[in-house]
Amino acid sequence: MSEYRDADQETAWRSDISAGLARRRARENRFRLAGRSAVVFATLMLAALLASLFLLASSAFVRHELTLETRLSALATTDGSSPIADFTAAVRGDITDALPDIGDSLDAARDLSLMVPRLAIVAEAERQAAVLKTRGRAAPVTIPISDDIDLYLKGRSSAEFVREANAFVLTPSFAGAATLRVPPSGAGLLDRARAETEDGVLTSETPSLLFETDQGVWKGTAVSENNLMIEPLLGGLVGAPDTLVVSGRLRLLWTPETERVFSDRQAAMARWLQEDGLIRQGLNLRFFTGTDSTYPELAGILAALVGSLLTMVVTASLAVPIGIMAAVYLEEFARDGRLTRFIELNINNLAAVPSIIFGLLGVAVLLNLADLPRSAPLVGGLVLALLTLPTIIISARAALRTVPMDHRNAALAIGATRVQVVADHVLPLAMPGILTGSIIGLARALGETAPLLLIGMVAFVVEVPSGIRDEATTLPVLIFNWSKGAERAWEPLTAAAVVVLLALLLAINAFAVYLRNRLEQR
Amino acid sequence: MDKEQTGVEWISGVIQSLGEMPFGWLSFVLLSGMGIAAFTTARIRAFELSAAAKRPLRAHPNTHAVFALLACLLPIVAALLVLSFVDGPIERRALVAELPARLSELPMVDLDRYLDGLDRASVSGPGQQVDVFDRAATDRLLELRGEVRAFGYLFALLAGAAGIFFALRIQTVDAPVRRYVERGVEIILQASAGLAVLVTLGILASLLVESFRFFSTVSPISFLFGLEWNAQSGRSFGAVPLFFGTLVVAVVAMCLAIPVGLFSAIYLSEYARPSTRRLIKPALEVLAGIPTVVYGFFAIVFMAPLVQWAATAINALPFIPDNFLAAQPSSALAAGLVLGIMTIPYISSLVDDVLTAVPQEYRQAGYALGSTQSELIRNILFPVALPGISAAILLAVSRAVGETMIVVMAAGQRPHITADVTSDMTTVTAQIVSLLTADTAFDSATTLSAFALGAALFATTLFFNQAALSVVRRMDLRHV
Amino acid sequence: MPDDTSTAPGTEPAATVSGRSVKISCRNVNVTYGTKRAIYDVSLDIPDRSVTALIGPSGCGKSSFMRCLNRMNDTIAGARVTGEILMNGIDVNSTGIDPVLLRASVGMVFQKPNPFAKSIFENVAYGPRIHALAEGKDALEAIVQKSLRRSGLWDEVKDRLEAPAASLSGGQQQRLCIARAIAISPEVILMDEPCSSLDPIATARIEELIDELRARYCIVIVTHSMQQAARVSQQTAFFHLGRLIEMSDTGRIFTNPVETQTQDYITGRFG
Repeated sequence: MSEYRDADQETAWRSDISAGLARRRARENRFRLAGRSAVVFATLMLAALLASLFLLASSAFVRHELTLETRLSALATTDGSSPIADFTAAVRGDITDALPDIGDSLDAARDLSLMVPRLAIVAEAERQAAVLKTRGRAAPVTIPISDDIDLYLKGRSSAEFVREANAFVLTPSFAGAATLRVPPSGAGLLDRARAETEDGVLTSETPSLLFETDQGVWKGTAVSENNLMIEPLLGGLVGAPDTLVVSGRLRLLWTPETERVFSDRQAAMARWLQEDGLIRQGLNLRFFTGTDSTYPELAGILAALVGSLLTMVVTASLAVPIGIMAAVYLEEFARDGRLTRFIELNINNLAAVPSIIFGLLGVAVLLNLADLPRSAPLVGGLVLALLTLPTIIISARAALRTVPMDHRNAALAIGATRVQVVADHVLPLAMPGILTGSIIGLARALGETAPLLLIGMVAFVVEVPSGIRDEATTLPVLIFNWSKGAERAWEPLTAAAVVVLLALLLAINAFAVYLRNRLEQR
Repeated sequence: MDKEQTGVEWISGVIQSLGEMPFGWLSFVLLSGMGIAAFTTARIRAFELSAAAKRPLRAHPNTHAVFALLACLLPIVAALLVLSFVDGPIERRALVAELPARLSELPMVDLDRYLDGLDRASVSGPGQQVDVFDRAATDRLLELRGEVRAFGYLFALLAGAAGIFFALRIQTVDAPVRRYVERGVEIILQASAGLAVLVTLGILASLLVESFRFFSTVSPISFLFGLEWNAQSGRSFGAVPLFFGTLVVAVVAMCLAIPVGLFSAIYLSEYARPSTRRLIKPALEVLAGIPTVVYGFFAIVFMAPLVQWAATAINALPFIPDNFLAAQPSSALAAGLVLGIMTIPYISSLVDDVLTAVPQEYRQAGYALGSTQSELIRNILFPVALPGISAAILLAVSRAVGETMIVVMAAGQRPHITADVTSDMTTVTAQIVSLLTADTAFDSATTLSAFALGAALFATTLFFNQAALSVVRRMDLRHV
Repeated sequence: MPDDTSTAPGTEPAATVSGRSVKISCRNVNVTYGTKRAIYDVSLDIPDRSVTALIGPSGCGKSSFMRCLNRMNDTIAGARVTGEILMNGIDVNSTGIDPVLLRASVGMVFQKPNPFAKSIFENVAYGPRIHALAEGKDALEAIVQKSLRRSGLWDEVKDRLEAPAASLSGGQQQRLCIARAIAISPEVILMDEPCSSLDPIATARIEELIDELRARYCIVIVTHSMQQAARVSQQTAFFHLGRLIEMSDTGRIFTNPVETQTQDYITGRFG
């Protein structure tokens, strides 16, 4: 009866009712439409959530790295002075050598040093020293480049248009500057840039036009119909002859220089190094093996993952046994009295208490009263154990209730005590349900954030915690911290951490379902 | 003389190493050692008794063994629990007394942090510290810990031994040991269940005690009715802007979640084909399983920009004054909408359960009278399911009021009262987080105000939960 | 053959049955639930203004057949009905027929009394209200009163119309359900074992009521009890394993059945 069709016969029946039927049907259809839209809306929101996270995260799992054949002699030979400083200088020197002459302006030096952050070089130096020590030879040097440049190379910072041609006519004027006559194939690009300027003057507030040849990179200063005034940015012509025809590439960076976090020169250098094969895109392993950092290009989730693991160990080892014992008591032993009802009331209420209240409990009792260390998995695990306890009790009770009364009666009838009945007959049958419920409860705890913020797990933790009293943070808290990061590169990184968290939760839940099926079959 | 010297040295060496060993392992060794001792002696003794009496015991020897085990381990566990709670404070107090004034007279927070540092170093590896004084302090801490533990473990050991002794005294041929064991197990189980009561009491006590301390400096009237909140400066503690922000966010969330959740549930339980239902229900459950911090991030990267963009677009309309809407980068509206999305599955799954629980007879009667499906749902099913639906909504409201991460991340931090939902606001939960994650001394009114807010939040959510429970209970009665 | 009103399955039924005009005429009705077949090729005619009893052992398909008459099988997922069911000469299963209209013309009373969780008044007023049969409060009250009188409940409940329906006894609830069904003035009333959950006194009261209602309505009753069928019905159809075995005047079926299966059933040899 989903679709109604009008028919002549209707009038033969109940004319008193059929008159109002059209209105009622319209109402019915509206109601059904409302229901359908609600479902569509809810699923769309889920899709939007997952899609936006995965899209954002996708770029964080790969990143651009600088691969160099840097002379490691600096590391190997120098003992006394400062090997790291030497290594840094060597790396910088190698990059400079790979680039055309960048001149000796302060700006150029600054641009170069910001492209490869010092901290990244230090970390690599330490790694190299370790490798050298254990294996006696050097590993290839790979250094992550700055997050801003990485985002640019991934095409996430600015729209970019490129035209390649081999008939550019270059007429040098004075001081390295030149006039470039652009072949027809590149004229479209010029028009595009010109439309954004006043009188064709390119400034830092208009899109940038770069001209790249194998000699160097020039930057456009003014643009007309098919001519571009250019001045050198990297390298240039040595002993400039007269007019010459070159092959090269025009690059239009749409976002004006003032509105982006990297300069034209950095873009030129990055593209140059990429062309030379020095900058390559690789798997962002550091994301999994690294710990938190103030630099997004160096940050990883390892410490938080270990922190989450330690916290969960504490939570599970407390909440699961106690929860099961409490459930067994309430289902199998408790007489229906005032005390039992009071306990049940407490459990039901606790299950609905906002999680942040448990954080307050942790601060007041565990930190201040018991003097347990702040930011430690011990305290976090304790708080989460109290938080998940009601959930585990409730699900374990439900599992115990599914065991048929016959089993208990049969065991009691042959003279088993109540403890024996529970231990030998009820618990084994209820175990699949209890375990599934506990695992799902723990998965919830794994995603919990608010109470951990209060007990100090927001701390910036660089070292992988090795015990439950160490300073630690957890994955959700790391997500919270990263989501506040000012640099744009934090966004994909945070999304990637979210994806890892969701994948973990999915795996745990899938495991719970598998376990239940497996145990129930037996 | 020499011998005595080495004896003392040996003892102090033991005490020192006692302090360095991890608490868990030591306790494990103690428990398992005493446990094995209790179990085996009681079992052997039971066989001896039975042999001497030339008849079997009333209880199985193994039951005797378990009885001794319980009698031995329970006191040890109790002693160790006490020890684990008091050892930290005792050591610290003793150490602080020996510290030079430059450290012991530090503000509480800094001193605590310094001691936490020593504590960590003492566990993860002393001797790695750079500062010579710190290293010495850590060593001293370990020594003190060793002394405290020496006492504690000795006490636990004696308690366990007393337990074994007691068990052996009780052991006779006719002793109803089995009943004792049953009773012991039941007491342990009962204690586990009672922990829930203890947790509730702990929550109540910590909220109330700290709130009272707060209200000794700030009057409850000015807290509950004051219009200005500036706790960070420690000056004004009028919580009305926070209550208002919480209310706005919750109302926005419910405006989204109630209709969508309700209609989804109705569609899924009454209209959808079984195959659709099998597909959509798990999808909604996925929505319910996503951690709130993920929703918060979603609010930051998706909803907040969307709201800001929409508000800016409205401001740009010709007949609307400029800056009509605040169009902030984080807004109560964005937080509320995402909170609403989060609550949809709670409402829909509960309402779905309630609707499916409505007896089939009502549907048959309704159809037989010629109702259309929507008439049946609205006139017959809905009134029957109303208590359940109200309970679902009450629980959702409670959840929305108590939700923290989404509002912390997306609602903003500005306490103010405005009807413009596109401006940033702050809520009770967001303030609790910002107050307790800031670096302030614990005893200040600023930090204590977080507990007063927590008490208000606890009372509110408790009210909603109780209301939900009582409506559900009424519904149960009507169906029976 | 005016005397021989018994129809064997498959044969062409007459336009009148026992001198009464045919209200519902069924030809080759089949019902399947998923892959399970419940009704095989049933053809029978139901006369107006009389009581037709459907009898047979449990699971014989009598209820399933009855549910075809007001298309209640539509509400069961996987149910499929084929064949022709003509009511007043119109096929109730044709796509042009709105089940709402059909069900407004065919009232139904169920095995277990199932009043809505509303007041007595609201239970009876529900049908007229959704179908907009009464204009104004007075007209509605008149309908409710008339229906309650016809179902013989009026004197018992006239002082407490606002009381919840659940406060009535089982027999009263069932009569309330009958009142609810006749409030929308149907032409046919289907009763699915209406007395199976009632005590003997309440059963007798309902049977009396059925006898009174027969003057106005075409009544089809499914019953387990052969005594009841003998007491209240004028025609009886015997179903077995999803097939119509025999249909005839009640008197004839209980005294002189044609088929041996019918004979076996009514003499209690199986069922």
